[in-house]
This record gives sequence, C-alpha cells and structure tokens, in this order.
Amino acid sequence: MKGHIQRTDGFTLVKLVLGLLVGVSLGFWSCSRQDNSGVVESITVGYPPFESATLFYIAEDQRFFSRNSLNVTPRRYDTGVATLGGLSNREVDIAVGIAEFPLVGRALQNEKLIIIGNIDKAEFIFLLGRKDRGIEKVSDLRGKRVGTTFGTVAHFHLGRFLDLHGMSIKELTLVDVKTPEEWVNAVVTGDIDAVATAQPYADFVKDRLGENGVVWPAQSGQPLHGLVISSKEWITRHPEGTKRFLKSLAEAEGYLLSHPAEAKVILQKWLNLDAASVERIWSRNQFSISLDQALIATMEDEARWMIANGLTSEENTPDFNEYIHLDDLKAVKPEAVHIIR
Amino acid sequence: MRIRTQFVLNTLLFGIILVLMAVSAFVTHRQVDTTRKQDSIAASIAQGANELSYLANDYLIYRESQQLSRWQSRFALFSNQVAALNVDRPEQQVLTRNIQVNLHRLQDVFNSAVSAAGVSSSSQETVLDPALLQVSWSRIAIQSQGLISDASRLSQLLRQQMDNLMNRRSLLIYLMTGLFGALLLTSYLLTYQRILKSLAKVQAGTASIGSGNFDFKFADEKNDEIGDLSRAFNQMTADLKTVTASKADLEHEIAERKQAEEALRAAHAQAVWLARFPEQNPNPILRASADGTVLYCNPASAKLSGWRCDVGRVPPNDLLPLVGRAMAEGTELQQDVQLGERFYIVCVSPFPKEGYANIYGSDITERKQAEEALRRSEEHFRALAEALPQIVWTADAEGGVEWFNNRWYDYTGEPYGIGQGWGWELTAHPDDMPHTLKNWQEARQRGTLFQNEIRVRSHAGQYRWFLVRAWPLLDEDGKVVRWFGTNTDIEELRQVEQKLRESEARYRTLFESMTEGFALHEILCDEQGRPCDYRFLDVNPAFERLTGLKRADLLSRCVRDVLPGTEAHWIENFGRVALTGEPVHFENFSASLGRWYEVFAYRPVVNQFAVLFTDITERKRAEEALRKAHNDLEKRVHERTSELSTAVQSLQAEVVQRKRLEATLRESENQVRFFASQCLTAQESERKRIAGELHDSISASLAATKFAIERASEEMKRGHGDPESLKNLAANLTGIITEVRRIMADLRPSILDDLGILAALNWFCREYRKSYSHIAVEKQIGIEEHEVPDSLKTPVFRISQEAMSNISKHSQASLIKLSLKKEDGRMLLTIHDNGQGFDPETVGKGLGLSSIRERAELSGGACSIESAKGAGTTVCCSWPI
Repeated sequence: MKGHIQRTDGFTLVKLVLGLLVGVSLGFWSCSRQDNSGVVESITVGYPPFESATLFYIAEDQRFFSRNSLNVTPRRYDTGVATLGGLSNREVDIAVGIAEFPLVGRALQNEKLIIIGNIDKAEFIFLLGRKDRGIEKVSDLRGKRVGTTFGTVAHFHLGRFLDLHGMSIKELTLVDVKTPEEWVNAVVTGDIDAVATAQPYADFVKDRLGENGVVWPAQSGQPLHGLVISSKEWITRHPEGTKRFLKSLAEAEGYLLSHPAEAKVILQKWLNLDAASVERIWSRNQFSISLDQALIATMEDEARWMIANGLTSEENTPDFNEYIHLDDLKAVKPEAVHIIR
Repeated sequence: MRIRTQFVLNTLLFGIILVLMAVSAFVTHRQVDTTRKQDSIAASIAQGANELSYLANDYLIYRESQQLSRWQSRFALFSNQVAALNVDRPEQQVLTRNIQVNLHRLQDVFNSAVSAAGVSSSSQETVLDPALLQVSWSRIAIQSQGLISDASRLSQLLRQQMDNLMNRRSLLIYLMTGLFGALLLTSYLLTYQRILKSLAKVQAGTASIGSGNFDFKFADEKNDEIGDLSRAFNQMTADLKTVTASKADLEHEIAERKQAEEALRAAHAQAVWLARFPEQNPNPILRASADGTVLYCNPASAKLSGWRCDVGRVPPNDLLPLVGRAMAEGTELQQDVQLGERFYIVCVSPFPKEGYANIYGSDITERKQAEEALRRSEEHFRALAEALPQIVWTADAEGGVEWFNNRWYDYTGEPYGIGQGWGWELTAHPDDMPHTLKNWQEARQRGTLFQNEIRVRSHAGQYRWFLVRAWPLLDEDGKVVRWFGTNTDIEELRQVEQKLRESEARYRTLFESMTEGFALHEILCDEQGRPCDYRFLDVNPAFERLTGLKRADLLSRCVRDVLPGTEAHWIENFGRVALTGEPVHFENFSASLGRWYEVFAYRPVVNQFAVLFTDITERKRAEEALRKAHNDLEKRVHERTSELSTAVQSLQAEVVQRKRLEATLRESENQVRFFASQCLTAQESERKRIAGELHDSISASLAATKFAIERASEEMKRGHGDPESLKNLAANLTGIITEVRRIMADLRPSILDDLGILAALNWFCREYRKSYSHIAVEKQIGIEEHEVPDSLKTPVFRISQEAMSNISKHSQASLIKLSLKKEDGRMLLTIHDNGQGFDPETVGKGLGLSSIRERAELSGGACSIESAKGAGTTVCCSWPI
C-alpha cells in the first residue's frame, strides 16, 4: 500500500509539471490573442456596385465586421459620386470603393472629406464606341455624342485619353448619363455614339454591341483607386470604430489571399456576374489596403486637369495631405502606409 | 519497462531533440538568407523606381538623347531586378505581381510621353509644352510612386518574415530546451520513482529482515531489475524464517515469565501501601468499641482540634451518639458535625459482630464557609435582581428555570412558581419558540452566551419583544453548572429600529435614484494635519454614471490611488470642508476625468465630507461655444464695420472715379458721335469715290462697249461687219474686268482670304509702289502667318492701307517703313514715314488717324501715333497674341 501511495505521488508530480506547461502555453496563447471585446458600434456604409469595393463585400460576407464588434449596415448607391453625396448628407458614416476623382472635385469645393484607406488599384474605365456611327479610331470621336457621368473618374479619364491623342474634350458633344442602366442602354440603343464607363458595365456594353463595338482602355496606364472615405467629425468621434473597420478590411485582404476561389464567388454574388467576368476583374485589380504617395500624385494630377478644363473656379491645387488620415491604418497595418509628409 | 530499455529510450529522445534543434537552426538560417536577398532586391527596386522617375523627368525637360539612353539602360536593369523577385507567400506574390504590372505601365507611360513630346513640338523647339510636361510628369510620378510603395511594402513584409523566422527559431529553441528540461525532469522522476524509491524500499526491507522480521515481504511486482531483486529477497526471507522459528518460541517464553514476575512485584508494593494507608491518611480515623472506647486512632486524629483522643479513651461527645445509633441500627451513618471551630463530615461504619465501629472524619470547614458565602451571595444577588428593571432569572445546567425575579411575575401576571422549569414557555409567542429552543439548546451544548429575541405575553394578553441573554456559570472543570439570564424589554427599540429601517430605505431609494452624483468620503491628513488624500466611503449610482467609475472599485480606496491625476485643489477644498465644517459650492474641471462638475460639499461628521455634484460639461461646452460665438460675432461685427468703412471709402473713391468716368464717357460719346458722323461722311465719301470710279472708268467703258456692240450689230445687219471690231470689244471688256477687280481689291483684296495677311501686305506694297512710284516702301516681317490670329488679319491690313494712303495724300514722304513682328507676346505693326509730319494736337483727330485708332482698339489692341513737324510720322499698333 505504501509503495502504491508513493507511485501516485510520482505521477502527481508528472501531472503537475505537464499541467504547468499546458497552463503556461495557454497563458501565452491567450495573451497573444488580440482582445476584440468592447461595445458594439453600429456603422452605415455606402458603396457603389463596382469591383472596387470587393474587400468590403468579403468583410461583410465573412462577418469580419461583426467579429470586430461592428454592426455594419450596407447601403448601395449607383455611383461613387452618389455614394459620396450620401456621405456628405450624413446618410452613411463611411463610403467604400470610391474613386479619387469625385473627392478631388469636393476638395476643390473646400469640402473636407477624409480618406482613411485605399482598398483597390484598378484599370476599369473603358471607352466604347459604335462602328455604325463611324467610330473606328480615336479621331473619329470628333463631334460625336459621347456619354459619361459628369464629375466621375470616367469623365476625367475620357478627357485625359483625348488629351493624349491630341484631342480636346471640347471637340465632343458630352452627354451626362447618370445610372448604370443608362451607361449600357444609351449606347446600345444609339442615343449616344460612345460611352466612357466603368466595369463591369463596360463589359456589358461590349457584349451587347458585339462586332459593332470598338473598345479602348481609357486610363492610359494610370490606375484609379478604390478609397475608404469618411468625415473628419466621424473619425474623431469613433477612433476605435475606424480602427476596427480598417482591421476588418485588412482581414478581408488576408482572406482574399488565402481563399481566392471563395473570394471570387463572393464578388460574383454581390455584383451578379458570371465567372468569366470575375476572372477578368481579378486580372486588372490590385485588392489591397494601403495609402501611398501615388494616390497624392494622382489626385494632384486630376485637380490640375479640372482647373485646366475650367471644371472648377479654384485656381490652386489643394494640399491633399490634409485629406488623408494615416494614423488608424498605421495602427492596423503599418507596412501599408507610404505617404511623404 | 526494464531499466536498460528506459535508459536507451531516454538517450534516443535526447538525441532526437538535439538533431531537431540543429536542423531547425540550419533551415532557418537558409530561409533568412534567402529572404534577406529578396529584401535587398525589393529595396533596389524602390530605389530604381525613384531613379527612373528622375531620369524620365530629366528627359522630358531637356529631351536629349543621353537622357533617353540612360533611362532605357536603367529600365533594363530595373526589369532584371523585378524578374529576380521570387517570393513564396500569397501577399508577397500579389505585391510582386503589382510591381510587374506597374513596371509595364511605367514603360508604357514613358513611351507614350516620349511619343507625345515628339508629336507636340517642332523639331527646332527643345522646350516641351508646359501642360504636356506637367501631365507626363504626373503620370510618371503616379507609376513610380506606386512602384516605390509596393516595393517598400514588399521589403517590409520580407523583413517581417525574417523577424518571424528568427522569432520562430528562437521559440523552437526555447521549446526544445523546455522539452529537454521536461524530459530531464521526467527522467529524474521516473528514475526516482522506479529505481531510487524501489532501492530505498529494498534497503528498508533488508534492514527489517536483518532485525529478524522474517514476515516482511516486498510488494513490488514490477517486471524489471528491481522486481527481480525483490523476488529474490522474498525467497531469501522465507528460507531464513524457517531456519529461525525455534529460536523465536524460546524468546517468547522468557518474555512471558518476565511479565509475571513484574506483576507479582507490583501486587506486593500495593499491599504494603494499603497497609500503611490509615497511618498516612490526613483525615481522622478512629475505631471505637460498642461502649465508645477508642480502640484505634490514627496520628491525624490526635493532632486535630476537637478530636483529641487516645486509645482507651472515649471519643468526643458529639460522636458517641452516632456510634451508638450505628451499632444499634447496624447501618452506616453519615452526618456533619462541628467539633470546635471546624466542621467535619463523619461516617460511622458499624461492625456489630466484631463489636466495634470505624469512624472516618473529613474536614469540610472550607466547604461550609463557601456554602455560607454562596448563600449570602445568593441573597445579595436576588436583592440586586429584584432591584433591576429587567426580568432576571436563573436556570440549572439542563436549562430548566430555577428562579424568576418579581418582574417576570408582575409582567406575565402568572402566579409565583409557574414559570419555573419549562413553564415559561406558556407565556412565549408560539412563533418564536422553535428558534428560541434551538438557540437555547445550542448555547447549552457549547456553554457560551445565549442571546435571543422573543415575544412574551403580558398579563394584559399583549405580546412585547424581549431581548433574552443568559451567561453560563462554569465549574473548575469548565462545565456549566448554572445559567444567569435577563429579559430586557426592547419593544420600543424594535419600533424605533423599524422606523429607522423604513427611513433608511426611503433615503436609500433617494440615494439610489437621485440624478446628482453623491459620494461620502473620509479625509486623510498628513503628519502636519494637512489634507493629503481622501477615501471613498460610499457612492450612489449617479456618481458611477457621471464619472464612469465603479462603486466596487472605489469603496475604501483613496482618490490618489483611484485617480492619480487628481488635482490638489480638489483635496484642499474638500479637506477644508471636512475639517472646518464650512460647506462649499463651486464649479471646477477634473482633468483626470476630463469633465466639468458643479459641486456642493458639506460635512456630515467630523473628518468626513459628502459631495453632491452634477456633470455640467455639456453646459460648459455650450457656454464656451456661446462665448466663442459671441467673440466671433464681435470680431465679425468689427471686421464688418471695418469692411463697411473701407467700402464707404471705396464707394467715395468710386463716386469720384465714376464722375471721372462719366466725364470720360461723355467725351467718349462725343467722340463716338464724331466718329459716327465721320463714318457716315466716310461712307458717303467712299460711296462717292466708288461711284466716281464706276462712273469714270467702268460706266464709261461699258458705255463705250455698248456703243461698239450697237455699231457692230448695225454693220452686221448691213452685211459688211468687221470681225476685228469684236476683238477690240473683247479687249475693252477685259479692261473693264481688270478695272472691276482693282476696285474690288481696293475694297477687300481676295488675297487676304486666300493667301493670308503676309501675302496680302506684299501684294499691297507692290501695288502701292506701282501707284506711287515716288515713294519707296521698305517692308520688314518678323512673324509667321499661323501666329497671326484670324481675327486680326483684316484690321492689320486695313490699318496699313489707311496709314499708307494718308502718307501718299498728306506727308510728301519719299520713304515708308512697314514692320510687322512678334515681340513679348504681342504683335506689333509699325508704319513710319519720313514726310513733313504734323502736330498731333491739331491734326490727330482727323478721320484717317481716328479710324486707325478705332480699328486697333475695337480689335483688342492699342494704337499710338507719334509725329512732329519735319520729323515724319510713326503709327504703332499692337495686339496681344
């Protein structure tokens, strides 16, 4: 009996040592986990139905927002400009997937909206014309009715595209087409001769025109950005919410990298696309959360273009550093921030 | 498991761990080295993008071939660096792909910029159009900054990967070291458990066997070397036990004999001791015969007063009757007897057959005295108890009441003696009995203070609350011998307590539900008695709500502990309240909580203070906003006043200016009227001239032609017409056509529309020389045709025509110098003659000069006319282009 008792003591010691090791390991593990506890914040997020908001779609689909104690209500708008309008009217707290050009327009009107991140770099503005209207080459566009949404990045890239081909946007008859349906239908039915618009609607137009269509990539190698924008007031009042929102998008980026097939299905579902369109989108977009100097250079370029083309009464380019909030993205993903200040 | 196997396994495990550590270190080193190389490439790419941006801009500004070749050379190197990128993680691969895409974009953008630069300017010009330069620069900057950003980010990720690898290596080493240590410990424990412990047991067993315990058996049945040893020892012990059995029996018999001898010696000693007992007894012992003669007396009886008796004498008188009665009755008697000053208890045991009786005495004087003292004490106690206003009682050790004072009988109205024992239960409230009896039972078992509250019925039949308390009286052994209790009427106290509870509940509700924060504190002072801190005693929920602090975190804690940033003025203010009792009311800002509070503090008791406060942060902010708005308004009013003042001054200046402008306007209107009349005159003059020209040349020629045609017609009718006359007619018509063209050209030369202003001026100068051969014309053109705006071509031509016509009419000049050139962004037209000149004050408003000035100004230009008598005239017009 005595011997039995002593053996039990020995095993107890072994168990104690193992328990200690397991306890220490669990302690390290629990310390290494980030604490996401906190009050759930409710955020209304506006987005246009473009591929530029892909990371947002993934974060919402995979519940990254709710895991970071955010209750997100998505609100869809037809264009980035309309989404930005929603932000200005305080219908939404944050706008995602917005191209920089509308923001440049707002900045030239001294409206201070703040960029807190960029989740996409893409080339998805295309110029599409009808051959039956005599459009075969760029110079054939002279005097033609060309549609675009005024004040959008498509407007800018149409102008820049023409500049680089020795033409002026004043040589066209510009038509303001405002909704995704109009972008497609107006040129397909022949109300206009050509259209400068974003994907996936450019692909829709191309498919509908078939052999009668001619297509040019309109961005001339200059990528446009899919920005995450909010107001200064909201960011100041919700520093924790801003960080959690960006953290969710960063987690969505990680998911996109580790589960590309699932991410494509999510985008397909949100934009109601076929698989081939999603593959094309994948090839022309860089879905990654960042803030870099190219964004400043792009916005300054666009501001100069607007001034030169008389689209604003302002004569000076704004200091876009004042429109970018770096701190929260730095806190969430420091390696993604490269802005000269 | 065999010890040998265990040893081999341990060695094997140690070896595996060491190999794992070495392999891990080697693999990690390789990975770190590879990652470092990739990081170096990524850093080179970031730098390369920067250099390419510089070289591209350098080329766009200067457009020299060496910059282009430099760019191309650097781009080739850059492409190689990008191609050398080889990363394996998804995020790094995405960045690499971005870099590759941006690389091609940069090349495309640069090539398109080069192409656009080549198209936009002529080969002679080296300076690129600034707008195109800006656009190209921006586009290249966007691409290069994107490249730099992606490359930097890739570099950072690679560095993070290196750090992670190093950390993982360290962690693995730590883990292996920990595993190594755990293995060592486990090995030690197993060795200790399995070998050392077993060896110790074997050692103890051998000692036991060595001391003759052949019943010992080793229990270890393990299948190892120690088990083998144990089994060998068990076998050996069994053999030894058989051999030594007879020796054990002999030793057992010896031991029993020794025990018997020892018992005999003890019985003998007891007998001797008993025999000596009466002699040594300190109490008196006598033996007397039936007639009372003392047969034996022990030494003690001889010494005690009152017992002084000797053998053969009679015992003291008080004992004799007892002896006689005991002998007569044949039963043992016992009685207290006073002999002299002392008391004894005497026991007489008769032995009638033997004819004597033994008399045993025991001195109980002290006990008697104690009993007397107790009796007196009891009387004193009862007198005291009767004097008390409370009910007083005593009970025996079993809990039965022995005695109640008269207060109990007075209160209950029960007859005397009814409450004794357990009769008091009849007066107690039935609801209170269960817990009372339980408590009373427990107190008696523990022998501790009994305390209970119970309702007791009064003689009027009403129940009143009593506090019952009872103290145990213990003997020398600590046993309860008696209970002393009191019943205190607490009916009023209970009612007061009830009211107090109700009152406290009301105040507690108020405390909990009030919207103002409330806190009770105790002030703490330093050695000099100055307030240095305070402690939280209680806070209400509003306090928690307003401050965000939790009650559980505050109670009994000091403010400097809870809010280290608390400003000294709070403690000073509250200290003054707690020490002087003077209440304070103030508003202040708490930096540690970041809010404004309106505070009222007072002293409920010395060294404490209560604080009643509300959060007025929003009000303060509103006040601040109001104050700021007021200041802004003041400032704006001031600025507006200043602006108005400036505006008034500006308005006054404007009025003056306006008056001046009105005068100018009037003058201008006069001038316009003058010009209008002059225009009408000029029109009439021009019409007159054209009519004259038509009359003098065309009309006359046409009339002559008409006549010639009529004459030819007549002659042809007569049949002898001459065809040659028609040839002359054709020549006449050609002359007329030429004349018409001349007139048209004078009105507006078609060459101006067909070939441009420079050709038109050349033509006009040629024609002018033909018309005015005495005037030489020197022409100097310093501008290209395409540089002259279309809108200015006609004014330039007309001004030149008008000026040279004036010269031919009025100047008597022999030389005209006409110059048209571009200078400082303007186009200059100068017509100078070396004629007689004129006084601009008197002649300058003539139709010709006014027309020149008017044409220049209407076309957006300016005109100056300089002339002096004998110094010729210079007309100079300029337009911005």
